Amino acid sequence: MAILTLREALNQAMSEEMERDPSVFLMGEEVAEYDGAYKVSKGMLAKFGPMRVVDSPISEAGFAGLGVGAAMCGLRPIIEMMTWNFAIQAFDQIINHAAKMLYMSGGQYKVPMVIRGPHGAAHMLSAQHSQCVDHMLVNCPGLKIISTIDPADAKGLMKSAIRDDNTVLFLESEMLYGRSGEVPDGEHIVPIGVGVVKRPGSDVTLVAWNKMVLLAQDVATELEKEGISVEIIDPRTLMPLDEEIIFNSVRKTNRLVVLEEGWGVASFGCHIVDRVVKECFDDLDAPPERVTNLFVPMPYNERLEHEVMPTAERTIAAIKAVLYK
Amino acid sequence: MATVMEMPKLSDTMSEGSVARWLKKEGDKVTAGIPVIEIDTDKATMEYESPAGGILLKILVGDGQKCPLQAPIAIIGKADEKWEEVLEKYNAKKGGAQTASKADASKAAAPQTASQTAVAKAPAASASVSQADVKASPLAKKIAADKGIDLKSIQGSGPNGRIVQRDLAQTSSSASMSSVHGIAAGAVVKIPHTNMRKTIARRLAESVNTAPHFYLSISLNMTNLLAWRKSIVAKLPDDQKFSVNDLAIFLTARALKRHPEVNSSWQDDCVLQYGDVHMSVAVALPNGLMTPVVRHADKLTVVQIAQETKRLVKIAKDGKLQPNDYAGGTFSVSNLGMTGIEEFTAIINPPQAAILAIGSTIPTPVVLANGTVGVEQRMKVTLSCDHRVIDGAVGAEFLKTLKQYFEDPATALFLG
Repeated sequence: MAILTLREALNQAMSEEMERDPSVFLMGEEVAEYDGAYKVSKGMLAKFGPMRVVDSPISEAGFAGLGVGAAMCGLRPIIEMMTWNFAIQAFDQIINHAAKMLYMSGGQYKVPMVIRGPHGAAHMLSAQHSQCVDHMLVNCPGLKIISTIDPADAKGLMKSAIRDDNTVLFLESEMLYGRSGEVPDGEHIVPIGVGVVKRPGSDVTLVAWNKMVLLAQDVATELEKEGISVEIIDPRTLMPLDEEIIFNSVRKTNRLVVLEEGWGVASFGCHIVDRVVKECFDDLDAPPERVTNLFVPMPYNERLEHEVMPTAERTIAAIKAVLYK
Repeated sequence: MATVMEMPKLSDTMSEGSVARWLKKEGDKVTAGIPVIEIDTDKATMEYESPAGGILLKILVGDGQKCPLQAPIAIIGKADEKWEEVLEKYNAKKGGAQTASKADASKAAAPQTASQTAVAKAPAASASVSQADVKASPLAKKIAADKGIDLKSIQGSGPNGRIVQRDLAQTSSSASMSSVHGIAAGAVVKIPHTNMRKTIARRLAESVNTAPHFYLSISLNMTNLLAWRKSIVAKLPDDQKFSVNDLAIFLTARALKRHPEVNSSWQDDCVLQYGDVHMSVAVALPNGLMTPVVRHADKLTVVQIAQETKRLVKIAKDGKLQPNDYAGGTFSVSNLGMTGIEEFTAIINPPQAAILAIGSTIPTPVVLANGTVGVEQRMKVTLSCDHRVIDGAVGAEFLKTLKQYFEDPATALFLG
């Protein structure tokens, strides 16, 4: 197995799928001549040419809509959003067209498209460029949503996403494109909708995804010194959600903490808590806790940014709260 | 053909039954003769068998609920049968005679069904209200329900006194918590009466109020008996070893054989004297007191008494005593020696005429035969007598024999 960075793993997945299937193409701002704003598409223009690696104008709604049309016509576009913050421009195309076309055409048109890019806070990008969009998109039926920063998972899930006949949104992270890990060579497929136990434990279930998995692992290591055993569940796919892996863990630990980046009001963590309270009520020994961004626009100031994001201290406090410690 | 299972009468004194626990769920397959339910009688928790084979279609009286004897508690039938219809027919048949006079014939079944359902549901409502008074996590409530723990007797360690899993960790039965966890200052813990506790209260009050008690105490020199036991036990395999208590039952049974006037009971029109000695042995349980009976104690060897006592204590602690395990005793012994109690008086176990209270064996200064003071292993026993049956001199004669047997156990073998 090769050690690849997240950007290399994504690049490998897209390149392998474009070699395998001529209907797959990549489009977005700076994906071709500049090799991608974050170099995810490095070398792909040289390899596949300008017909399949296409630089678009700064027009998110435009090229997202072009992707919907291309997909309806039988192609399999991968649309790169420089960041998901900019994709807010394209929400009409994503929510009203990509997500609903299959339904509204009575099954006549599929939209097999992947929209991918980084989301959430990076570093000192302030309020308009630091948003988590998962909870804004996840309650729209018709979309599949993947959120991971693990290189191996990213490769396997990207291949699944490209082959999926539905529109799949793929959420990455700017800060972690350079983070590396072991990635299986060649045909490595991770199915959409299957979560993973990142770390087994017995005292509390900590559900975290995307870059919060890293914080969760730090916290679990820290708490292990105090004799608290944390089980980390990474659902990897938000929609559809692998509920069973969460329920099974909560039935074992009897306690739940959801750690998510982004605002906590009506968030995806709310949905997880709702499902767990409904399905595992008699197994809960404490009310579930959530750790989220503070409910303010993201400050530019670096120290304030760290304050707004979920911290190890707040996560530990939440875990101790459900343990009554 | 579906069967309506009724609350059975499992002991003579039982006036209502309480479901301790269903062993099967609705929808489970049941077989005639296989236990499906545990029922709390006034004395014990007993398994009860399914009256028929089929599917347990409906449980009418759930875990922890009470109902009168012969009330329907469950319906067993085929999977496609409607339990509502079965119950309606059952009620129509059973209630027909009573309701015909009150309501017109066409409506006879309906009100009866309603009232039966109300009977079944009312206790459930009160049970859930009492659990709702307690602040506990869903998990703690589930554990409490599974283990039969009364949450009201537990002090919660969670926020605002919420009872959580760890508060139940050391608790296994409904009675032992207060001693394990203590009760917070200012708090008052309410422990509802169990059927067993009610029966103990009623019978003991009846005993002291109707049987005129008097007490005879005597101090026994245990030196010979202890040495005798030690030398014999040393030669026995582990499963045949016996305790001082087993010896006490053995010797008392033989003494009773010589004094049938003590091995007797008061009846309204006569005194019954018994030719057999069936020894009731007081066993302290977490939630009360039971007196299982060692039958024919006068004919058993000490080893047999030890083994039978051990068996009875175990099933008593498991809450599995059957009526024939505790009915029909002719005399009782109550031994608190192992707890360090030197002497005490016990209340007669009616309708028996007497009970022997045994204290602990302790080294005691005594005036010896030669006038000097020495130390002997001594045990005090107190005989509580029902004066209607036993007069002072009769009780004293019995204790005299008892003293002879305890102080020189070999005599019991020849004189018994």
